[in-house]
Amino acid sequence: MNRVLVHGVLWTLENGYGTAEDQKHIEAHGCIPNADPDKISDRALERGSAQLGTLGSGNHFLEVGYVEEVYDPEAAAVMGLEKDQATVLIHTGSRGLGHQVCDDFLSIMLKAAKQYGIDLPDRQLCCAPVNSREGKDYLGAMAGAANFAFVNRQMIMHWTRESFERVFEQRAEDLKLELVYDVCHNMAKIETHRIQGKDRTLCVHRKGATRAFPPGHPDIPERYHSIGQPVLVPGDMGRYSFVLVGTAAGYGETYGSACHGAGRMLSRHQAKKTAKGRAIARELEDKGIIVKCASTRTLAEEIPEAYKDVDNVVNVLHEAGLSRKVAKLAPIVVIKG
Amino acid sequence: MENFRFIDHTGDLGVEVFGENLSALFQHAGEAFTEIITDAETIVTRESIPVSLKAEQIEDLLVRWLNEFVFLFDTKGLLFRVFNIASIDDRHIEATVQGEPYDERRHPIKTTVKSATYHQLEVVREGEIWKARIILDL
Repeated sequence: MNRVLVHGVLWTLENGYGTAEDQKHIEAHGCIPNADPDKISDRALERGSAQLGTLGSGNHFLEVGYVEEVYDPEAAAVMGLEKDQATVLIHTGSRGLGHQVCDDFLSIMLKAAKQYGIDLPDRQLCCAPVNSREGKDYLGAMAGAANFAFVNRQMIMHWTRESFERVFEQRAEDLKLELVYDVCHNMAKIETHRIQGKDRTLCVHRKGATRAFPPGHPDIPERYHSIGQPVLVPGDMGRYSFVLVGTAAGYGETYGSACHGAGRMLSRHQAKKTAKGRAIARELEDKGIIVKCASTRTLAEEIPEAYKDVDNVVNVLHEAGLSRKVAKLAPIVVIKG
Repeated sequence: MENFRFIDHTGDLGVEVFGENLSALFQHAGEAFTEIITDAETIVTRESIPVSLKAEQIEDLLVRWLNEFVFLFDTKGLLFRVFNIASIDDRHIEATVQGEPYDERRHPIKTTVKSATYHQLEVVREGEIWKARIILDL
């Protein structure tokens, strides 16, 4: 587990889950530096070890779909996307390990906030200065959790490839099941940004958000230098998801960030009420979408109406120039953990 | 008086818990937690687990108490139906909880809980009644 936490995706490559080509197309090459496993509790390790390679519940999913529409043929071609092509979208993270890291540090940060005289509007927002001992310890633990998440997604992607190989009786290479991009969400990263003409080192916290770096940025894969970093914005399970690219304007306005999903419109409770008495799986099947879900309650809570129409959300990004639309993906099979 | 009720919260799930004393409040919070995950009536009390927790204040103790069940479910698949509290005050709890490991044939999973949070967290005494509000991250 130590190697997973410290080396991230390198561990998956050493153990036969994926290729060196995959690693080129993962944020930070699938390894956030300076992870400190000593700052991750035994409880977090215990929760994590049973969950490596699992999707998890809530809004996490694996979706098989296809490219329904291409808006930017040039950028789509660079990513290897074309109309009607099959796609796989995986959304999951650091699972119980990350949550335990969060729980453990909430206790530490509650004390730290008091010690540093930070007035909290809500105790869940407890914090400490980035350069304090508590801040540094947390960044070390969080990097380990992020590396766990990279490994988790890579393992699930590997098994997805194996499933495609089995069903289509072809090798993944021949099926061209290539990774477009793996990007973190809900992360804080130390980055340099230009503010009022000066380069400043910042801790950019992307909560409910994901990174969206512009063309030419040194931290994005060479392949995407001309178009910008691919940005993945999943929608609900009944409609569509979007692939965008980061822009120079977005870099200046948002420190290179975009939303990481459509966002909820109904609470889980309201969604359940809306879904009551309806055969959600059947409704989706009628639209040509097969849904496999571990619990009917999750299915009810995740009904399409529970989310904003991601088309509207993405159009705001596009019109404001914060990210640019490249392609729309439509679901065929949705697996919810 | 009801022991607990679920309250609306976008993205997460809120619970209001009631009890005539701290012991009952924590017992009912445990019962609410189980009800979020599965149907409590399907759980057979074949295993007993001692739980001993400390915290800086009563609100934090409630978060710890529920997160203990998140941990025990995540790592050992344990679901609990009976929550016997031997002693409790603002900063510590000693209890024995009874239940069994999750069995997919008998326990319908409604949803799973990622963690109990400090968001809008409240434990108050209103007259003769203890009342708590806690938001769970699902």
